[in-house]
Amino acid sequence: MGWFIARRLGQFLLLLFVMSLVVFVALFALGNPVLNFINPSSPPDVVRQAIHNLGLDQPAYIQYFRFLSGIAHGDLGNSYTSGRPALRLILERLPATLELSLGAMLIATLVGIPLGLGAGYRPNSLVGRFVEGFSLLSVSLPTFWIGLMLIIVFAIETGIFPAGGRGPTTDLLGMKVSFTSLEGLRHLFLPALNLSLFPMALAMRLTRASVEESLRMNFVRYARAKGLPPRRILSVYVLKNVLPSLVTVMGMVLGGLLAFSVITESIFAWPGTGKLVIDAIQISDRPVIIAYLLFTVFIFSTINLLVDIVCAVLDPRISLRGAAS
Amino acid sequence: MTSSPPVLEVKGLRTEFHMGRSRLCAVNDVSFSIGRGEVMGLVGESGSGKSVTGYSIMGLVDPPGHIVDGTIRLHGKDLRGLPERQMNAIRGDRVSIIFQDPMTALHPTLRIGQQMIDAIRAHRSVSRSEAWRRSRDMLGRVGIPSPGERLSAYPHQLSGGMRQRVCIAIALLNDPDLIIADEPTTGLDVTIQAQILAEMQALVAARGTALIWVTHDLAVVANIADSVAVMYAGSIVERGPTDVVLRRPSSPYTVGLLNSVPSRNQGASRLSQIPGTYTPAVSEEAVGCRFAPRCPRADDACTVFPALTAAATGAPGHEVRCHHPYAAREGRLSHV
Amino acid sequence: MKSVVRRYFANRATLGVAILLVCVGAAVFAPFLANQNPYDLAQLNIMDSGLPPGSEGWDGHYYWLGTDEQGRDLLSAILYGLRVSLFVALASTACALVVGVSVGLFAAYRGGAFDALLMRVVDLQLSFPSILIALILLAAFGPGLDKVVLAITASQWAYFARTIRSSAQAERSREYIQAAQVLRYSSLRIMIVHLLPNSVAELGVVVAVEMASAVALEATLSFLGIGLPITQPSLGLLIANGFSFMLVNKYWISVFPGLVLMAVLISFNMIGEHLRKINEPGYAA
Repeated sequence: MGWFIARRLGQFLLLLFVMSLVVFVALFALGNPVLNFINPSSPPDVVRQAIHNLGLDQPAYIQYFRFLSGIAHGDLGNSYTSGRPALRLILERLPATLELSLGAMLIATLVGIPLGLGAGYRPNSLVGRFVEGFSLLSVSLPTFWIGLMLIIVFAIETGIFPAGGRGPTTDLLGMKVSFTSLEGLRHLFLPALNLSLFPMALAMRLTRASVEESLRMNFVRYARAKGLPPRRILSVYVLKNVLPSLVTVMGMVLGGLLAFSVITESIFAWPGTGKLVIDAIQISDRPVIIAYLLFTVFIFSTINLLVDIVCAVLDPRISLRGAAS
Repeated sequence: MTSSPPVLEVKGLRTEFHMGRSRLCAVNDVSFSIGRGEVMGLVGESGSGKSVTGYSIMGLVDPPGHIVDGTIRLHGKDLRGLPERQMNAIRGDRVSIIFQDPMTALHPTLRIGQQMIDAIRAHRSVSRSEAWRRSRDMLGRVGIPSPGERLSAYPHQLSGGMRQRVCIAIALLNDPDLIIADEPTTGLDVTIQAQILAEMQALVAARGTALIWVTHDLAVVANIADSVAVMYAGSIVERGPTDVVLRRPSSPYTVGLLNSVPSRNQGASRLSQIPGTYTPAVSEEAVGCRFAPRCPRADDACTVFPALTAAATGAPGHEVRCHHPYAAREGRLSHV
Repeated sequence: MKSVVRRYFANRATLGVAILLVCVGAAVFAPFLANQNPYDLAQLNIMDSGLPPGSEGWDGHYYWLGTDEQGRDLLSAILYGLRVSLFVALASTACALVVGVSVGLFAAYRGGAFDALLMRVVDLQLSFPSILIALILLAAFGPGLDKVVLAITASQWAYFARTIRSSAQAERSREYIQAAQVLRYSSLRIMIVHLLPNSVAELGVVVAVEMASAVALEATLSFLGIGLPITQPSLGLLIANGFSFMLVNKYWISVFPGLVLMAVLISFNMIGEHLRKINEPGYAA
């Protein structure tokens, strides 16, 4: 088990290093961002001074090493526009994005897994047909389009939920959260629902497929031969077999949601990291973009690492296999 | 054979698999009965319907399979058509089954103890600790060393023989009236096979449990069974007391089967083989004796499906499904 | 009558192909079908701005789907937008196909450490959300049609590589490939003439599905304002333009382009699903 975790940790660090390189190189190709911020008709020495202040006159590899040592100190540069540390901007916005993603994940799991279990157990039932239709629609409808529909129906036409914004927040362990008040929950619901549709469909389809597969397994027949009630077979024998793959996929999806929240945050004016980076891309605020991408990749990879470890705990055969190979 | 009423009485069982428009008849007109403490060998090649017969008794035939005819009486009560709920109360309690492959039968990510406790608590309202204690005792009784530790092991941490012993222990947990053992020793070492066989025999004898031992191995049957039923292509072709059927077989198929057993054939220079190939799937339209195409004694009469009739040996309960059975003398194998 | 229609469309793929044909036809012939060129400012009439569907314009012009805030006929805008959306999807899927198939075939054919390395890269990329890859690239290169095509290609090629590699690998061990090697045909020839045609069945599915996700990804990026420039409005940009007017109840500016987008995506996915069923072993027509 220890060896298994160590190996995954090594891969994780390697991935982060490669990503820092990729992100840096990709953005170095962006060209000179200074002209976006100062008047192009400024005298040449003013431009030169601005470039020098930002360290952009150094060779690329020196910039990269300064960038790496900055990362080591938790310094990803200052925003070109606000002058504040980029990482700080991101961390300020992070609770909003986390709250949104976790809310979406909660909805997706609570709705998706039971429906998938039902659809897998009785494919021709009403639930089975619903899951089939829902999964075709969910791959066909882009998130932003569904978000617009939600706003039209639930905010503009009926006014049940607000159309955007985060609403009132309260401090919880130093983070601003909105799920603690009813008004905050009302603001959270539509964006979270919007973001949850993709992982929900995924959870449904995956659960359904693995339940169908599990039901054909010999151990389910054996559990029936032991006279176990169907409820027990489904909720323990089948679910226990389905869970590791489900945790894997849902965990990876949670990482993906942090990135996907870009769309939902833009539609619902949700003040999270996604909205921040879209604004930064539009004005080429390079440190903020780099900080966001690295941070997202970091979180994404951390979650994947945790998922692997949880899976090894859930399925005792995995760590054994990992150690043997 | 026994004067007491039978534990299980199967009459005219017919199980079909409906594949699209065609119907495959996996079990056709199977009848037998088994009394308290009796061991019956159910013998046949793979695909002969012996396992499906076992599943039919357990009510575990899943669509596209259906039991279409016959009765399955346990202590006189017909299990067929019993509501699923009541059937569930019988499965694992009054009747239990041991599967061929314990690796796939046991849940891979549940501890052995959990799987045993579940089996008890599905039928008995006892505490977890009491169920745990019973499980440990039962593991000890089937010859598993330090059973307490094994309870917290996962199936993949045990050897093949241990796993099968666990399954045997699970089958015995609720002290059933009948155990169906579906080729439980296939894939195990010969020595372990012999051990398990002997232990199993002792366990059922001590409790008076009826045992149906499904196998393709006549040597096993000779060792363990009081009576034997030989199946071919879904039907019983011969049945009777074990020593009578094995020593004085009446059906040409049984004779062919016995002639292809190595230990029985020591004098012969070459192991004999039943000619032709076996076709396991029998479509519903098939008429006549299923063995006729491979039978040395087949003639025009064999286009009619034969009924089970008393064999020429006159032994009680010895019956054969054949138009041209061997007579009491000629059916004997020369070298036995 | 109803049963005839139902029987004909019982096959979802037929319905998908029908919708798709209408959309492609509309996109190709947009200049002839549209009653104005929505990007020729001279043809727009500011007096007609924000008219609801079915209104008559200032000069007696009839606007079936209404107009946007600049007085642009929405039907014409959608026809032209469809053109842009489908073109971007086609271009990027074609690029992804070429890149992915080349890499996948090469990996399968060479095998060994080379194969292992390439597939590692593919796996890594597939584990990343496509939107994140697109964000990285667009952040680096800025908006523009060619950059959007590049970004979508980059987030899609790995699917093609994975698909072709697994089916080609199954083929590679077949006797005829070994025979071709014994006959000393060149590697390239063997790959193109023998491996490719036999690995094509699975590719059809991926093409259909990836066309759908290319349309969706482009629409999403454009909606976020980091995709296509305002001068080349795809369906996604049209929806984005109408977004702010939704709050003042001029919902049609966003909704109609959205419905067309939906139709395109569903039709591609229906076709993909049908192709997948055909490819499954044991399929009977």
